[in-house]
Amino acid sequence: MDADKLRNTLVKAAQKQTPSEHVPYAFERRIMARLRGRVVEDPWTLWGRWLWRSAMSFGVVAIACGLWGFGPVDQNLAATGEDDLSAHLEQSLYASAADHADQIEETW
Amino acid sequence: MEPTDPELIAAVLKGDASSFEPLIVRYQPRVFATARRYARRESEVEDIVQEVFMKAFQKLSSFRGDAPFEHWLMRMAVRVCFDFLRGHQRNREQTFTELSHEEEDWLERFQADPDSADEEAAAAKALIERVMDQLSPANRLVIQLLEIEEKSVKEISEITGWSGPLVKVRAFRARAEMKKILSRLGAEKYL
Repeated sequence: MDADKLRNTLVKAAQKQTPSEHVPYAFERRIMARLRGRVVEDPWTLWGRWLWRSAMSFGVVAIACGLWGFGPVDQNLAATGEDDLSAHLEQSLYASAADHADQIEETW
Repeated sequence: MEPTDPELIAAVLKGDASSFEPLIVRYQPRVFATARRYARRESEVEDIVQEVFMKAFQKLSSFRGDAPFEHWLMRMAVRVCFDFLRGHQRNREQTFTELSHEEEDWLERFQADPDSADEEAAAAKALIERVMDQLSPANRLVIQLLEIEEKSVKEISEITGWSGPLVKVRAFRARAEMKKILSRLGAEKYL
């Protein structure tokens, strides 16, 4: 098969093929809607939006912690000190310091 | 009386984004036709056209106005089409194994009598699309602009941003690649 002749014939076929200029209905409105979306989204607007969203979620966490902290404490547990979270926390924090103090006393 | 392109562009640059809509309405048929030369699926064509106008809007301040807006826009359209081809080059077909009956018939008739081959046949148009799909993006762009749209080297240079000698080198390589593909077509079907 003569490749050069085939190329010329196919190129002529392509030249005679005019692509359609058809535009889908209201296509310009679709583009304009996307453009308006982009125009509004400047960096400060985005920053403000994320700031408000994070402020709201952090606010919810803060309120939940506040309610938990000021909520009613089981009086029996508080009296015995058993399972008292604050007592355990204090014990853990001062454990090393207490051991060190004991050692110092032993040396005296 | 409708506002002219420079008036609409000036309004957009002053912040009136809605003035861009008449420009889209005015030029979208030509941009669609250009996109259809490089993409087959209608969804891809719409994506290309959308990208062209989004880029045109973003870069409108770089339009100097020393040439018609249409030329500037069509140059951008061809560049977006080239980017599309580069992004989809992995999907290029590599063989001619799935030719339709009409395409095979057309090739057989061409083989028998090349001078009487019907250039307007749908099969010939389908075959050239297959061949174009197998070319590399740069070669396809050069063949499209130089051979099919019959633009000059200078015009292609302005559209693509390539130098004149580079366009010529790419045209030489593109023709060679096309010939190789067509030889392969002949070898696959008739040897």
